[in-house]
Amino acid sequence: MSACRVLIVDDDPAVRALLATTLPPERYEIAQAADGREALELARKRAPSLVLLDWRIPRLSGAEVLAELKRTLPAVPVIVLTAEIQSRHRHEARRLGADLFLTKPFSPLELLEAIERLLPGGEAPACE
Amino acid sequence: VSESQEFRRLVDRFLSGVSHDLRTPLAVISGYAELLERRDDERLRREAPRRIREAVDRLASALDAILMASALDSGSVVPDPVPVDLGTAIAAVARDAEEGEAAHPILCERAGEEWPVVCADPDLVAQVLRSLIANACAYSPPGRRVTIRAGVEGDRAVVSISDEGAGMSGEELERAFERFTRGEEAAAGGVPGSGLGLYVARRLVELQGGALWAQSEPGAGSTFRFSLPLSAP
Repeated sequence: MSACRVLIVDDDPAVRALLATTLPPERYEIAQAADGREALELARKRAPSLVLLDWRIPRLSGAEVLAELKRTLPAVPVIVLTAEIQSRHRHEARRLGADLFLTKPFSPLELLEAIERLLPGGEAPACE
Repeated sequence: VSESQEFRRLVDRFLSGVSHDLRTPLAVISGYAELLERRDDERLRREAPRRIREAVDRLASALDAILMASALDSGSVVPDPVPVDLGTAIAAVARDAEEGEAAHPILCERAGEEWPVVCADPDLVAQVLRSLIANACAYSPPGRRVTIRAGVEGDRAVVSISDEGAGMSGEELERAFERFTRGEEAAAGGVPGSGLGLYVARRLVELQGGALWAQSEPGAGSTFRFSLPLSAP
């Protein structure tokens, strides 16, 4: 079984480190981006199996990145993570095709379960 | 844009900034706590305590900035002015900053033969200096020098804090003192911070009869200057 490629997009290095630690290295290969442009560039180069996307990022917003990802890689699940509490952000993310919307603080282990549900192969994801 | 729309935009940005500043370190603390509880992993046991401590520090700083901004807005910050030797005040804050931000050497200089003595509240002066030094460190690459210089201009002392960082465009400079505004470069580089620091610093200086302003251009670093009334001899 090959590793699943997860693209982590967050401008906060501490959150990126937490997300990277959450994903077991024997099952996940991780790429990290600190802003929207870097996220789209890495998504083009690395063809991720799943994207974890912060909503408030510099150089293209989370919404712009989500819209572009869903246009160019429609089959790739995107989980939006955000510190925003206003429901309009959740509604916008859903409208743009987010597969899940989680508010910080979140449970890393519940996030991991959600990732495994969304990847092809379910709880034992088999990524190409 | 109407006044009420502008007000809604500012409130929205304030709430979004507060939520971001508090929830991000909380996510780090609760996330590592849960992983520590549920996973037996040697690397995690080594790394998590440091990550949690750093996030607690960020949370405390964010709370301090939010509370101080609110206290300033409600008019409940009342300075207690006494003669303050800027040489002593700057040296103390620079020493603390160098211990915490070892990546930036901090140079302290005086323009005249003696350090100016201002009439101000020493705690508030220290807070302004801490905020401007933290800003200079955050907005310049590791290893680049931060220079603090103090001198006298007329009946005022003027302190400048210069960095060798990315600098700001005219538009960024105009917005730098609004609440929850951060430079694009810092945000992209993952510099933690609320964007309240400069807003609070300017209000604290103004409250003590001084002014705070900045000069900058992209690629050429930034210099923040503040003035305070000199203490009567």
